[in-house]
Amino acid sequence: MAAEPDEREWIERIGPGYRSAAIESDSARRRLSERLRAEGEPGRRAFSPAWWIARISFRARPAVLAGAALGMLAAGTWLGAMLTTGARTRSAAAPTVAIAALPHATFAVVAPGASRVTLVADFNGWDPQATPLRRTALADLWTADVAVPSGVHVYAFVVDGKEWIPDPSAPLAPAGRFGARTSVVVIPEGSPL
Amino acid sequence: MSRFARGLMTLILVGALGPPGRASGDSANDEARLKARLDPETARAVIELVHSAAESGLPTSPLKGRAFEGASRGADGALIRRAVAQELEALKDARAALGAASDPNELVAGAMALLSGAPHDTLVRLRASRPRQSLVVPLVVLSDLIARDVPVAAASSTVITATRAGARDADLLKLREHVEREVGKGVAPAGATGTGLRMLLKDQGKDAPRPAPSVGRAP
Repeated sequence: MAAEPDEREWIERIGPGYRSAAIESDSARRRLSERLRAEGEPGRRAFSPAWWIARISFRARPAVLAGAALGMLAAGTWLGAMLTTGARTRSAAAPTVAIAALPHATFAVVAPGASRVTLVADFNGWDPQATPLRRTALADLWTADVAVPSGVHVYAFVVDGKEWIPDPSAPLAPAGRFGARTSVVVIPEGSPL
Repeated sequence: MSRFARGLMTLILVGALGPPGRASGDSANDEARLKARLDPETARAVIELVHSAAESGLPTSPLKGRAFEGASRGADGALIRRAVAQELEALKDARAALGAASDPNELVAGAMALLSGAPHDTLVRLRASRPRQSLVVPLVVLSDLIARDVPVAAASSTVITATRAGARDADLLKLREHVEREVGKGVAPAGATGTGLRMLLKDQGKDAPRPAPSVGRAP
């Protein structure tokens, strides 16, 4: 691979000195190479983007290159999704961000005598079927561990498919125009709860 | 830079920018869901309000959330339209009070506080007390206090005083829990808020504000 202009400057600066050194043993040559590498290139800042872009030059088989390119495209697509969606609330009914990438929150409620408890929230499209809670060993305690996008969310529990109740341990949302009260949860950016 | 490196960078950038039209695909998906769950007139009205919010640079998820909530509760279309329109007005008012540079989550929490009954001026004063830190938690606590029947003026002054005293989000949440617990025991909401604020200020190493002495009476 032909040297780029910057690389030529680098070779011209260190080349003569390297060639004139009387280095007999392989280990001494290796030590000198390592020291030169550690000193960095002349006239460049360590974290300049131009520096690390210029350093991307290596040999590989075409199949490996294609694989790497596809991998980078996938990574870029994922990064793009993260950057363009920001903190927008997404419905669990139509997720476009990997669930594993979202923080998880545990929702819990004591519902004596209930046979079914579900979670309704702005992040699941307020769908009473979408997020059922599981009954725990403590008979009346129901819990669900749910992936939730960061942000401010409103939610409630639905007991036996008919009664909407707020979370008794969470801040209340403004009095609803649609009836029963709802609760608020704040999921900080990138914070697993 | 080698040709391969340039190609690699191009691929990363193309990926980061995303396939063209994906963002519009998301909103098309949301609109399809709104149409599926609302009557045609309500869906049309809600979609117009969502577009209006997007054009104004306001978060749209609270509007869609409100519509879906109404649909799930079997609310009348007119009620849903009114609720979504109120939400949009509250978001606009929140941005006017908190500033155009506010985080979308602050606008959502600000709109909640306004819908709870907090005055516009309270949000302005809260922003002044925390010009650079997030106001999400103070606004959520303010909404909660009002929802627990703390008089609006008392709730506003409590959260403003606490925030001005440098209370952290955790301190405000502790205050909220205190009020919830005390109200649950039967204490009057305003009284519970007063004791909660005094405890918070004591923890901050500051004196609790004293009521102004009555004019014409000996101390």
